[in-house]
Amino acid sequence: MAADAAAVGGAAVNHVTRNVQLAKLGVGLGLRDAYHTDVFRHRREIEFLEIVADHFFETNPSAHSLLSLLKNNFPLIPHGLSLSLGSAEGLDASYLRQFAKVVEHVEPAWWSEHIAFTRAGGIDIGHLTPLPKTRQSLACLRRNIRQAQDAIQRPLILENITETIRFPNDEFDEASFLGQIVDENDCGLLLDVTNLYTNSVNYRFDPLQVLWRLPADRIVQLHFVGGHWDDGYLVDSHSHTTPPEVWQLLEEVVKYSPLCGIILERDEQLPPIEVLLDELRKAREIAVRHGRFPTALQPANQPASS
Amino acid sequence: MKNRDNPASRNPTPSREFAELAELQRALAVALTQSKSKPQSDELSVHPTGQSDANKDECLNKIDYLQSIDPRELQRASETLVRKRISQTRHLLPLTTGALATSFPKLFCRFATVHHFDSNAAILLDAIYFVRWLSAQNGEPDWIIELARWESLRLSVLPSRFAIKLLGTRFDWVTWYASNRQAPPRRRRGLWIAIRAGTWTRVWRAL
Amino acid sequence: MDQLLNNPVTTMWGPAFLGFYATLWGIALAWFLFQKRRIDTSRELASLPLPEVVDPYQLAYLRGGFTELLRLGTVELFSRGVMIEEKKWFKVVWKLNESKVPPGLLTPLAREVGHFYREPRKPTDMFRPSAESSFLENSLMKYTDPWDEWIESEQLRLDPNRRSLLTTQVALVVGGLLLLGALKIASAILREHYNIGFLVFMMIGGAVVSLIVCSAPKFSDRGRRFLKDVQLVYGRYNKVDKNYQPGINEPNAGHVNLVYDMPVMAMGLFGVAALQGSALDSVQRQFQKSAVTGSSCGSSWGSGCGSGSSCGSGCGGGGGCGGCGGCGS
Repeated sequence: MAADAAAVGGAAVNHVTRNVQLAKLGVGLGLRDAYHTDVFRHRREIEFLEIVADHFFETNPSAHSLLSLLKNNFPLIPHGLSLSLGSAEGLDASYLRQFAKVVEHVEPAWWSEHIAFTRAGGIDIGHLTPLPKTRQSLACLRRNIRQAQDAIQRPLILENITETIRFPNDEFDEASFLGQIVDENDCGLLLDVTNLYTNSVNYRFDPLQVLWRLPADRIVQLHFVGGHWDDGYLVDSHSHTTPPEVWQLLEEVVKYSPLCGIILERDEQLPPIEVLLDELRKAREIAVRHGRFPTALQPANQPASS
Repeated sequence: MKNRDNPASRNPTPSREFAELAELQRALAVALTQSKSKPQSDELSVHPTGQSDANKDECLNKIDYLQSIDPRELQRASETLVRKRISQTRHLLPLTTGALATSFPKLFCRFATVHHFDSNAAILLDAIYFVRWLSAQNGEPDWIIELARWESLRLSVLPSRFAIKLLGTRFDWVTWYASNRQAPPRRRRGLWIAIRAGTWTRVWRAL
Repeated sequence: MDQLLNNPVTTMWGPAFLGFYATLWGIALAWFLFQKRRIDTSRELASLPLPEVVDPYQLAYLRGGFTELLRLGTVELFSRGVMIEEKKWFKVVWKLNESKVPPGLLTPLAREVGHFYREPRKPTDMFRPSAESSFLENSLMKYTDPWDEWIESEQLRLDPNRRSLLTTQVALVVGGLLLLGALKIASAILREHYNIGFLVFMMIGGAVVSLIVCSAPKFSDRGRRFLKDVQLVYGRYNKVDKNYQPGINEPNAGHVNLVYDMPVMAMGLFGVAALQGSALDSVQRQFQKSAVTGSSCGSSWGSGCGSGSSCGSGCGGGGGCGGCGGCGS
């Protein structure tokens, strides 16, 4: 299976995943269907796009032309949803092969996946499920990440997820688990600020204490968005504008790490693009204020009438 | 749409090293998807395979510490997953879900207990399978079933580069429904064809 | 004449001549295709970057020339409620309803088209040669001249000189081959051989295939790519919403803050087929009728009559399949 998947890749594995060695992409948007037209109209304000790799697999022929068009107009970062790097049963070779094809086509600065599993015992959960923070999970991740890195010759960054379940037999806390994964596997960290905040609220801990124990040079990219409250529980639904607490935490992360990119990841209750552009501007201001990105963007061109 | 890969590569056997983790993950998968078991092909007449024979209780019993997980967390995670599937299916089947109105989430929860995600094009398949499941249920008005079938056919031609499908009859009023957002006054029969070639998709009435 | 009818080629044994003749047609077709590729110098050029703001009039002009421009101006008048359709017996007349919308809300181009309808007119009038229609065409030139320059400088259309050269070459070669076939038929008949069915079929077939293969395309490769890219990005506007009501001064639809009305945008980018089934369906039908009955179909280089494509799937794109979908990611 590994050999099969690795066949897609090229020669030497590129494991440069420290933020100082990677391109500074700036502030961008997670591309969603509803914004296809808008992102082109406002491309001066969107420095890069994060695409869901699954949407551009070969099962979807019409998406291929769109992918080429996107590639010609934006720096793209493919983001995976179902590689299931934490699956004890190993990776789905076919999924990995298709993912590799998308990455090969896009030629991104890096690609990303989640620290989670989505498939077990032949069941596709369809959702990112947390792993127990144990040595066995670390070993399993090590095996799967190596296979993925062999197949996809681009730097890999891994994302922390919202923990809907906590396991009683965890051997590590969140910070040391994330730190170990990225260090052991020479990966970058895609720090989802909202997920970190959501976990800190639902499981009552100080997110800064986790942040400050993460390897600053490994934090390559951030995700941020707002969730909603449901019966006293914060749900990471990607459905609301970013709350002040997340902005605060994002600023702390930006202060702490010389990261390369920030992505707004809105999925539900999609507002007009202007709302998202406001959030992008705000994120950029923060990054520029802390010297992470060179200069502020020019204001968007006003459409000319005929 | 078809599962073209080697089943062994899609559901590989976990190595002994990770046996315990694999067992935990399988138990969690069953618990979260609320599956009695992996659906058998005759259960829905749509699902390609059925490998898992473990039911939820069995799995939960196998892993002691899974039982020590806060059941409210499991419940919440499971509900979150179904909510996510509901929201995505609603996006793909706007007419059917609009017609089902408030009964759609309830019906989908029932569907979710017998059908979980497939891997590639999972959400698309979820929507298509939901419609097929809905068609097999009693209790929904015929016109909603017809509407759902029409929508699922439109979806089912999406993944293939070239496809010609006969939709069958009685779909003419669907257009009427789409613009008026209420039950059609009468049915009109006709032969409907869906054709997909590359990026071009059309569904129209042939007769 | 005797030399023409009695030479080694025309007196060749029937099946051998058919093989020879088919080979000639094959070589000719291959050469036509090669020439067709050769005249398109835009193949090597990179795709034209997408404009931040798409002007539907400019796109309509690129797609269908003056005719499409006139149609689009008319659609804007209808969509703003400035123009109405009146049916008198079997006659359809379009006339202005100027009290409905102040002219300031119309694009300058639509205002020019509106002048044409100061008096009620039949839908076909605009496309028929007349003093008024030529005046209208001239008044639109101030808009189209910069577009012509743009089209030429970006090589979005094939060079007309090269196109006509290709047409001449194809006509000469096809004519030569048909002449050869005719000579063989004459020679055969003179020798009282009447089994010429295959040859006649081959002559007609070869000529038809040559015409189809060699009809010089309107767009260059770069132009086709550009149009395809724009249609892909604006794919969700390839049909006017069934609930769209003309006369409502609200150009914005959905998430995209459109500068233009929805029908103007849809038709500008995708052609009149985009109006099908909408409140402007009757306008679309009139356009189709005028394309059939109106002989001139506009002017200059506009192919005009084409209803444009509504290609691009309304349901394609695969976007809907997910997103990180909220929780956990």
